[in-house]
Amino acid sequence: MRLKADLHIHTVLSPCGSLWMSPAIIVQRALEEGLQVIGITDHNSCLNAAIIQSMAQSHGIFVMTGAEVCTAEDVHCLCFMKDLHQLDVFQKYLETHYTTVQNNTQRFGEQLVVDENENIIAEVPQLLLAATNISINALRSKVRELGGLFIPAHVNRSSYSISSQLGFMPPDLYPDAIEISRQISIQQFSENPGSFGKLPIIQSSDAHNPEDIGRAYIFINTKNLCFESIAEAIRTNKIISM
Amino acid sequence: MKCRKENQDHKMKNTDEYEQKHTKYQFQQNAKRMKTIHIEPEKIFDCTLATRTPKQIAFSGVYAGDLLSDVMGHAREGNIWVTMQTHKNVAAIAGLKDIRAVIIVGNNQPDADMLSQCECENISVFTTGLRTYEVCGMLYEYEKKSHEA
Repeated sequence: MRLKADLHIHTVLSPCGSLWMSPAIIVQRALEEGLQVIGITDHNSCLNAAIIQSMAQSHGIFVMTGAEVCTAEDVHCLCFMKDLHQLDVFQKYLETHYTTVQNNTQRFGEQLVVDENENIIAEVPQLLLAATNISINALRSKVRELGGLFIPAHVNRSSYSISSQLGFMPPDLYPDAIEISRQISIQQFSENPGSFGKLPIIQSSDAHNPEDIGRAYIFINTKNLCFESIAEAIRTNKIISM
Repeated sequence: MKCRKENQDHKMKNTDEYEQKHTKYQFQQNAKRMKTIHIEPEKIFDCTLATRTPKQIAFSGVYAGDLLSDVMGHAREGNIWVTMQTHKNVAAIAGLKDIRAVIIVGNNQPDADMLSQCECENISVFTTGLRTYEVCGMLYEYEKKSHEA
């Protein structure tokens, strides 16, 4: 089957995410856009992903749970975990690598963990936008160890990307795929990929507001609506651009 | 007609003089810029050589930057590179730009594979607890004094 997927969506947990990005609204918007797979990727935290996964399930939407981790080099990477146990392990791993910078809600916005009825369960005190002290290669090893999916985010952007921070793709990184931002098409990027070579390319919305969900997406050719099938399809480049 | 020619000659002479002067000036500027200075960083400020490479290095000018894309575009041959990045790509870019020394600031510890690649390319890596501002300030003073000497 051909699944419409937007794998990079923020929630109210990201300080820069709109306060409208509640689990219910995200699921609603995904339904409106006809998305069958969405990725929940808040900055440096997975705490809202599980609730969205359970809410979306009844609507036939599969949620790839994970985070957009900011490495020590200031490179953003999408990391997806295969099940809730691994997600929990990964969350604890991230928490041991936060810096001590505290969030200033006036300046950066709130970082809320919520339930299905939009009740606030917790507020994260550490600024999730700050870089962790995990190097990009160490993060890649950890995600591989946990059986997850590792995708450097918006590699063509001039900030927080492999291109800007590291100059070019480290030849020993072996990511599962790369993500490009929505300002360019996959075809345009593939014409001159430079050091990214023939890596599978995904494109997603990086939505911080409800209206941006589904602004960019890909189709994934896969047999089943489960993590392993989707991850395998991405690794083997069974991706069709929008 | 004659007058015009004279004028032209005069003009040409002036242009020649100007060009000569200008070239001389540029040459002096370039020589100043390209002048290679020797430095042993461990004697100048609190830092440690992390690679098995020469302690003393020859350099001309300094580039400070943590965005490797920017360093690739703007650092010049022979510069000392001051950065807090410790990724292996630092070694590749230093090699590419013919940079002989990298100073890693802020107590950041370079990755083992970065150090080994720097050793392969004979690039000296120094680590220090100081910050970019302080290191650059001291290197600037050192270079200025050496030019005056």
